[in-house]
Amino acid sequence: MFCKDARELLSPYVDGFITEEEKVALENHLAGCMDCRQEMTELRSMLQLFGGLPELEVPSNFGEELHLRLLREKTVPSIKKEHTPHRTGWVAAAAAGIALACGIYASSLVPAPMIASVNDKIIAMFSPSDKDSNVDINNILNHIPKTDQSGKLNPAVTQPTPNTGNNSTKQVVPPTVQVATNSPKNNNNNSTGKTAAIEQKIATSFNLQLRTDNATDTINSIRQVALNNAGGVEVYNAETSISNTLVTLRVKPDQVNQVISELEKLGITTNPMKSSENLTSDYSKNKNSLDRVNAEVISLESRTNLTPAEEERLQARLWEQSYLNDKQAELEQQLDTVAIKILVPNKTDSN
Amino acid sequence: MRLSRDEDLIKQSIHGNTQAFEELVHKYQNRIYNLAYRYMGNEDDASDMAQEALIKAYRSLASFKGESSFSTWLYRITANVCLDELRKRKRVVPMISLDEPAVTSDGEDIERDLADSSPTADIVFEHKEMEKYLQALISTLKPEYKSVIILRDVMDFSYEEVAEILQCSIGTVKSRLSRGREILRKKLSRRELLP
Repeated sequence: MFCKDARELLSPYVDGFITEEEKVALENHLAGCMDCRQEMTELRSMLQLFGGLPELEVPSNFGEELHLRLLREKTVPSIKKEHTPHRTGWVAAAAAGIALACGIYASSLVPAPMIASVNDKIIAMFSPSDKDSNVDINNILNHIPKTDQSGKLNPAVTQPTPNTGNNSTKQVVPPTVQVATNSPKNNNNNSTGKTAAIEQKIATSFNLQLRTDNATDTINSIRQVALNNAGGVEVYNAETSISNTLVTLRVKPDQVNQVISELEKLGITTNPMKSSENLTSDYSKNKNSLDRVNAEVISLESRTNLTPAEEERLQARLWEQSYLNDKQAELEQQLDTVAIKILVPNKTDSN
Repeated sequence: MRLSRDEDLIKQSIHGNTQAFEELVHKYQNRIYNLAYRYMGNEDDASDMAQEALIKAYRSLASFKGESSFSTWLYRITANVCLDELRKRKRVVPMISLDEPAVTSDGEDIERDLADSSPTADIVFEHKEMEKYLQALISTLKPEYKSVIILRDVMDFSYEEVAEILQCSIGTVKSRLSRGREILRKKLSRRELLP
């Protein structure tokens, strides 16, 4: 036996995880090789060190904290939603931004009743059928002016007082232009210099339909597939409508084929349709903001005496940091994993 | 067929009985916390991650069908929660640490960061110091080595248990362990901390 082979066997040998044959060969080698014996001694004492690391007691408030967190869990474990994507929120926020801009712009030119109708149209444009988004947007509209316009401007919907010599009207562009600059593609173009060097961030997904006799059982089976592959696969979302349920799995790229083949065993499936989404612009924007916020947090945190104003600024930045980190994590999850979207019809198609 | 106590508690938990869930996980929480501690390296993060893992387990309890033991399932979730968190942080950290530590693909050469805090042979170090150093060494390992070292060498799980928790073959555990131990042994040996 050569030293190279002997070294390979040292680790399983100290655990007794080695065949009788290998053991004899290794022991013969060790008897005549001082270097390998030395390594063996070192390995053994290292394992003693790691094995001797103390076991810690859980913090005294651990149980209580868990208790409180469990109480806050509104859903019981069998309920489907495990993760709510923030996309609708972003659309609502973007719409609100535009609506606000329009409101500001319009409020300087036209009487209140018309402004209200402008806002309604913008809202309608973004959510033709979704009533809930209306509520969101109005909510946001009610909050935005307090921070963005330092209380001087109110959105036309709530308080249509004419503005006296307000500068912001000059900076606000008409609604059509505003809509254009808010589209992600345009933002990408605006910062071509930066994004050109950045690698493309593409999120991949597969869509397929799965037909079975019993939708509920099937959805449970899909969960089981995820669980069997835990670590590489998780149930990201499950949305049920009247006619079907859409289950989204997030899967490590190397496990996609296996998961799809497991899914195909559950019933009649359509061919998986691949689609891609370019997240480069979203990603780099978020990353840039995060870099900026991180730098500011570090510089503020490294100082000892902060003025109350700086302290407040630090708190705001920390809040922003955690928000951006979450967003980053979500984007990364979308990029690192492949979404498999499985549409399960509630009723079997008899045809 | 009679349900075991765990099975009974799982059943009750699935129906939203949080007390049953608390009883269910109580006997495992110490181990979960320690597992998280070895991944994260400090008590606050360990506590957060252990909580996170348990909440995640609670949420996905309905999909636990008993292919592995319940504890194995909990440890798997804990390991994944910790690795996810570390992965997230890794992407943020380079902006915080100004001089990026020199890491080879195996995580073999992070010496710059450890150099100042590590014990050396000519000074007698206290236990605490050594513990800190060992923990720092673990944190330099790549995830696949980190997991096997923590589970096998620190937490003393068997090869079979490690394979089940990490959902890989025993052969994989064996080879990763061999490689991970080799990396660590070299570092400790270089500092003359081994006889």
